[in-house]
Amino acid sequence: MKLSWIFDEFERIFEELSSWGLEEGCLEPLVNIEDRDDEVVVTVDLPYVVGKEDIRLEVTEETLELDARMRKGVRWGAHEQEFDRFRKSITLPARIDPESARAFFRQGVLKVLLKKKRRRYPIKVE
Amino acid sequence: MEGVRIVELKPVETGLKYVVEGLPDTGLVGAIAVSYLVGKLNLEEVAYIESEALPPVVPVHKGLVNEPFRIYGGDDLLVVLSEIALPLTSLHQLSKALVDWYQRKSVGLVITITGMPVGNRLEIEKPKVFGVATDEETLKLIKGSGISVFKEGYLAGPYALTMRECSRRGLRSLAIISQSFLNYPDPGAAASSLEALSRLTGIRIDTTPLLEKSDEIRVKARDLMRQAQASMKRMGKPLEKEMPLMYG
Repeated sequence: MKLSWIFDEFERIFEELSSWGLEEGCLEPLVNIEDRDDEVVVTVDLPYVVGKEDIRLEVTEETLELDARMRKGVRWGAHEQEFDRFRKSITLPARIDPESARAFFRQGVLKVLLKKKRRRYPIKVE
Repeated sequence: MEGVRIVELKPVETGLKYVVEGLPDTGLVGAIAVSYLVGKLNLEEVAYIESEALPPVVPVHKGLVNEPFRIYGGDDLLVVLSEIALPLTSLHQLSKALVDWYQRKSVGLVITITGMPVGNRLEIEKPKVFGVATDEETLKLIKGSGISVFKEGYLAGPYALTMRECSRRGLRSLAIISQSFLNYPDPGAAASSLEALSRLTGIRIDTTPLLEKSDEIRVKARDLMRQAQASMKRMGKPLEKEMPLMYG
């Protein structure tokens, strides 16, 4: 149990590192993940992303991947590197049903609703 | 105040009308608002706050090292801003030292700007602003300026401590609280707050350029937002969604 937690943590750290694609000009967006009773809600702040056609989303039962094109490149950091995309790979806090996924993009913020896979079923007491 | 020193770079007058505080907090509403205010009103740096409780971080602008926690001044106005998130352990000391200084400077009214997280922020085109005061006279000023009163609830974060400290010392204070995102920089909420500040003080502030630069601000403020998120988790922010037991 303890080892599995360590591997999960390594995986999470590597995922976070890989989403800082400095060579590829990618920024990691600010993300908020809400683990509700029956769904996972992910919101992502995407400044300079203008329309939904600029956003690519892929989902599995355990992950959500985002790639979004900024309409204007921004120079960032000590080396003044230019960034023109947001990219993020998110490990979800629960298994979800990918076919249930819905996404909205308003005021530069993306909201993704992911219904959880039911892992518990009620038992009728006779 | 032990451990905290306010270092004046230029003589700061006493008897100024207003101090406006905007520290990194919910949606960075206060931080964005006061940062814009400093630029828009061409205020000059008059003091900085020194404390060992602050993290060992200094901002660099155009190749020059800056103080992270600064005070700007202009006609009848002081503005307090921080470019770093304040650690929870430093907040009590810092707010006491700042309010102590405001009192020594005989400031007329202490105004703090902050955000109030709302779940449906995405659906809100123009965030609404609420006000809360430390005394009846200031509450009348809020109502008279057409700002809705934040009637019941909790305040949490740096501005809550500033207000409590002002209240204890009989120093007039109010908070401008705008609906906002919790974890994302919110220039729209900052613009609403500045419009409220304008109504309260009569200081003219055109917020159009702030809204036009919204994307740029959101990108630039990402790192400060990340720092503030870590601090907010520890300062009881979830309490702001709850109701206290006693009703007036």
